[in-house]
Amino acid sequence: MKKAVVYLLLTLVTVLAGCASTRPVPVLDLAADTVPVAAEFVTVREQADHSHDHAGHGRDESKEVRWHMFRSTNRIDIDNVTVNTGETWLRDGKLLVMRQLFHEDRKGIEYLADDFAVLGMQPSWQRQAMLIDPAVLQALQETGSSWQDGNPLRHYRGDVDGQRFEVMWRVDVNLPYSLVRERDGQRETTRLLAVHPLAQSPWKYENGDGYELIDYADLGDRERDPFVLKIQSQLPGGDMHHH
Amino acid sequence: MKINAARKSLTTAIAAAMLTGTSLPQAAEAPASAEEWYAQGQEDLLVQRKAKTNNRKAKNVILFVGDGMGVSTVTAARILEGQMNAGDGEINRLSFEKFQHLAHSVTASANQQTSDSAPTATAMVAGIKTNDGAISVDQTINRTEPDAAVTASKSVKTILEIAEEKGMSTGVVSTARITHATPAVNYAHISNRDWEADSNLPAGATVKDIARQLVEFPFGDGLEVALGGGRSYFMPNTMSDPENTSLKGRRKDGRDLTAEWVSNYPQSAFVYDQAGFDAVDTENTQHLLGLFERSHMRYEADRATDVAGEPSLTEMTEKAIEVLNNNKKGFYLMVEAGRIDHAHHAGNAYRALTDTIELSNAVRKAMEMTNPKDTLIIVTADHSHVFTIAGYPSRGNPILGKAAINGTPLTDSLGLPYTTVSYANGPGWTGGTQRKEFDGATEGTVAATYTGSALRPDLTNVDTTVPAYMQEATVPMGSETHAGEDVAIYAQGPRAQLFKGTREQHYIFHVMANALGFDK
Repeated sequence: MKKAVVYLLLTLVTVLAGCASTRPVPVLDLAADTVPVAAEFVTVREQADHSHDHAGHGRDESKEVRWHMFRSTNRIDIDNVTVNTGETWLRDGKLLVMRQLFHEDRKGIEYLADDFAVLGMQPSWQRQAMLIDPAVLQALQETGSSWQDGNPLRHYRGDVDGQRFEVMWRVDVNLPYSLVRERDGQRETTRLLAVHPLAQSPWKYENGDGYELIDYADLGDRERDPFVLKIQSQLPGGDMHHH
Repeated sequence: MKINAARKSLTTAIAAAMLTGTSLPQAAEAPASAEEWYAQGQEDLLVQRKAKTNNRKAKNVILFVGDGMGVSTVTAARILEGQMNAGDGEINRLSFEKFQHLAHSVTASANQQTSDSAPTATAMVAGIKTNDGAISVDQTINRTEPDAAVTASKSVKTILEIAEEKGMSTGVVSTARITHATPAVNYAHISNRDWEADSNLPAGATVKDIARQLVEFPFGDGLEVALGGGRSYFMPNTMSDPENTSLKGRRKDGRDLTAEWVSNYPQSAFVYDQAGFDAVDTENTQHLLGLFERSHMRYEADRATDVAGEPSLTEMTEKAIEVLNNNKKGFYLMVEAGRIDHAHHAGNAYRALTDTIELSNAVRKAMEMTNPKDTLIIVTADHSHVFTIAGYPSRGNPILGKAAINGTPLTDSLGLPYTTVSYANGPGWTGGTQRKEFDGATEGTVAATYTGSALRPDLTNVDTTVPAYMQEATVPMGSETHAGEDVAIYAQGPRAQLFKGTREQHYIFHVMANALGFDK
């Protein structure tokens, strides 16, 4: 009996998939309100080629990071499950606030508008919500479209500001199904593993709202704080401007 | 050496500009010949010889503190201001640099060679040296003393508290949070500068948090003016912020201290934006609380982009003096340019210097509004920063630019251009082939991929004068640090002549108290 049910379901899925493949893929609409979702991604960084290896600082090994995104209208939480850290973006009108969360210490660093300014950062809500600058996506050449497991994808490829992109875009949730960036022999690949409506998220997350938050501007006054000393290598630095 | 009429005219103009700080900064020109330089020196000598000292008792004292404003910061800011006015930056002077009296201030605290703002600010307003992190408590207290009675027994009275007891009006103004160390030392006593809201206190602590100490201030009739940032430290975590309505306060005790301020004092006001600030009736407002940001106020360079708008340091100084002037017994006011320090910590010279220039503007406004015969104005810093002016650039070379002689960039031993200003440590470390970068996979650092053989970034095509440029640093640190050399004390008004030589920082309190007649 069970086998018969499974057979019937598989047949149904196959038929539906066949129908789906003939359906037109919706057009890209980056101006649409972002759908509240919980999504799981994996990001891999690796050496694209070995021509840039130098003695002492070549890197062959790839590193895989699994992480979750919880996206609502005015809040994005990123849970870096591999290393127990997180990131929260809050939107209040034009104001953007970012919190770097360290779950083990139950503490976070809060970045405000002026902190972004001194660090030369120009954060964009859309870039955080979609994982790519919409202007960059629109600058790429569309190379095709498809359905994957019943989900509509549009395919893009091209170079922007010296970086090579290859993107498969889930137009229904405005998130990358696959996002490959390549520069200076380094390749970073982000793949969407699963996505759910936010209210039906299968993943639990500590959002850090009860954590002690330290202003980025106050880090200089915490010169003896063991937590600050521990995380200082994870703070933004001069390489942001010069490289 | 003869001085012809033209040269005399020029040098007299320069000397006049140097004598008084109240005139707006104008494009100054440097002497162009040996004769003119000599004449300028002679004129300056004449001015100083004619200068009179003022040994009267002071009616008012204004203490300006540039947080982290070391001598190199003052020099670079003076040059930047001059260059922004299309003049000779090197001969330009900030308003307070025209004061007649000057001393060095030794900033080491009771337990630090290089200090943080808490003990240095305590030294200035309480007349003693104490330990790191201490807010107007003595050096025998534990760094994290939670007990209110113990804290009270270790507390030291401040110049503001004495002024209140004497019936004077008092105020604190800062571009940082009003609960931050430098303003807090005036009205609070606590062992840990970070305990700004009750949510920062350890469990079981009986000492009051800093925000609460401001609103429950027990001396005189309470502070007349408190203007700055830090609104979230006064509001409960269930209450929406009035400017950023999706964000909440930080207090866990459910208290709205902004409402308590208004209910505690007659003829009082709480304002949080530019419109509310502009509407304050200073003749009829006796207690003014203005908290213009959830945390620190905006850098002067970014203030115009603020959603609700907020006043400049100059505007806050003006408003504070207007309120405080209602009391015929005089006033004590501390004004802090709190974000010079933050910009330096972030390795951002542009904002450190533009905030220093704004401090100069605020001092100029205070000079315009007060009489030097009865008002002692002191301008100083709590500590310095590891900020340097390097190389051999030509006079007139952009201070935020690359070191160059007559426009031709100077190069380091690698053949690469470098900036005139930089830091000895901080986030601006670029590290060349040894550079590490954060690796999210391990939460550690890994050697960064580095293309080419350069040991430093090539700045040839980089515009280092843009506001967002992060100057290079020698030692990699998440945040640039304070520096331990002396800072300057600039003073004018009654007893200002007592500032001379190299003095310990807590001497500032003793001069203020002496000038106000508190030590009789």
